[in-house]
Amino acid sequence: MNIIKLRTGATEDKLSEVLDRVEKIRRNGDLLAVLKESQEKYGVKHISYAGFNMGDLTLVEPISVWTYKPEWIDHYRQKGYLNVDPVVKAVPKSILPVDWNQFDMKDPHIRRFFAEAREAGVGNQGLSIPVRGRSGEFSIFSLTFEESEKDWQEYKRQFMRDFQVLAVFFHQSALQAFAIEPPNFNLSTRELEVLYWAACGKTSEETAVILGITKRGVRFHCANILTKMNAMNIAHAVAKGIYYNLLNPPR
Amino acid sequence: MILLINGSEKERYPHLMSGMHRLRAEIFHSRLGWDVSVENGLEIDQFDDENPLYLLAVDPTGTRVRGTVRLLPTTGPNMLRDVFHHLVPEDEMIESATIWECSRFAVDPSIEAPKDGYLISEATGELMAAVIEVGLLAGLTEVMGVFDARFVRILRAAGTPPLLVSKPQRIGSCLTYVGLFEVSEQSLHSIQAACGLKGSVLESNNVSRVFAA
Repeated sequence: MNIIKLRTGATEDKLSEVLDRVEKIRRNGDLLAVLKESQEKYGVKHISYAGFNMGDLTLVEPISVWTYKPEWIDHYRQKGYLNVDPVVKAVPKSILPVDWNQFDMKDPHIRRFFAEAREAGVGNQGLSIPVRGRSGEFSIFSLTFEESEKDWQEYKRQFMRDFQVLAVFFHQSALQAFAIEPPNFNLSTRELEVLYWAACGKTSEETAVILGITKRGVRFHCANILTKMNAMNIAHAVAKGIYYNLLNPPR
Repeated sequence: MILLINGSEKERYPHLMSGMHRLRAEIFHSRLGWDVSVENGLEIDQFDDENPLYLLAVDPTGTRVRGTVRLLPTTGPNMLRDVFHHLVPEDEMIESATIWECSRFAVDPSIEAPKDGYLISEATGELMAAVIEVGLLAGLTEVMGVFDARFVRILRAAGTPPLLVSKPQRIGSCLTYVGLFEVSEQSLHSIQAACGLKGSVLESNNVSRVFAA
């Protein structure tokens, strides 16, 4: 990891101080305390983290940690805002940080959502940073502020780098705190191909023809797949394959 | 002019996207002889499925692709980690919140010549400037890539020498290196000066739209 430390951010002192302190808190596994520490140091109004695609834990809803008031979270859940919130819709598709100002405020649902958020003390400016992880999991790290438009632009310019670092750092903390070992099935290229064609509804005979191998060969690969993926049968393996984003068309 | 296109919205730009994949086929398959898969004249790989951010240099009418580069975070799936990992020692694998990977950098060979008195061509310079501009907006420190020797020379000539972190390796017909180049106001100015660019190459409407994903 020596390469990465070659150049440091503009606000190195503040960042390393925060990272130092949150490292200690992290060892205690208190994610909320980590957020609060960053919140205070950077004068951020609120911070929230939502992790997706992390195995069984996120089947129903994302793993979430936030500093928002409980009333806002209750309201958010009650109204089913997970399906309205443009952050949840847009950020996973992007690798760029998303400024909430850029959302389409002409849309009445989105406008009402943000109006209610402001009323609940969320803040008038927001920034969401997408984080992509090693194993297909991803998360959204959002920070909110109470700033004028002009100060906001300057603030973003100054601290974007720190926020990128914090976002990834927090993501890794969350993985550790929830003891999520992202599965590494270690499938070979051939096994991935066999799994892909099974997902396309091909029988082992058909897969054998497509790949130019014997039917026995296909069965052999299937057996390996089941072992490696800890799956009961090929349908189960395909389901896991979809879940962990393993099913890409062979090139 | 540079257009930013999120991989997730590629269906909205079928013409530009196929122009981009065609240009990549021409450069990486025909010219450089890399082992890439080309189908129907288009070069597409697994990382095109990972929602990368594409930067396209387009002609003034906005219809023809003159150059392209693709960006992916190094914390998620990327080419160095998943394809070129043999190029760097395992404990030096690059995985950082503030380093993104650029890959498939390609410029239309018919417009490769720099303007008189400049070091690098407009399309090459525009793309490089755009990478740095996007990097500044996203708070990056560096952009990493697998660069061929020619590109390393271009970067040196432009006054932004890359930091090479691997020994040279032969891929196809050319020597390649894993390198990092700096994202800073200063590196942006160097690139701009080397190809005669004035001001931002990003189109502001496009930028606000893409930042809202």
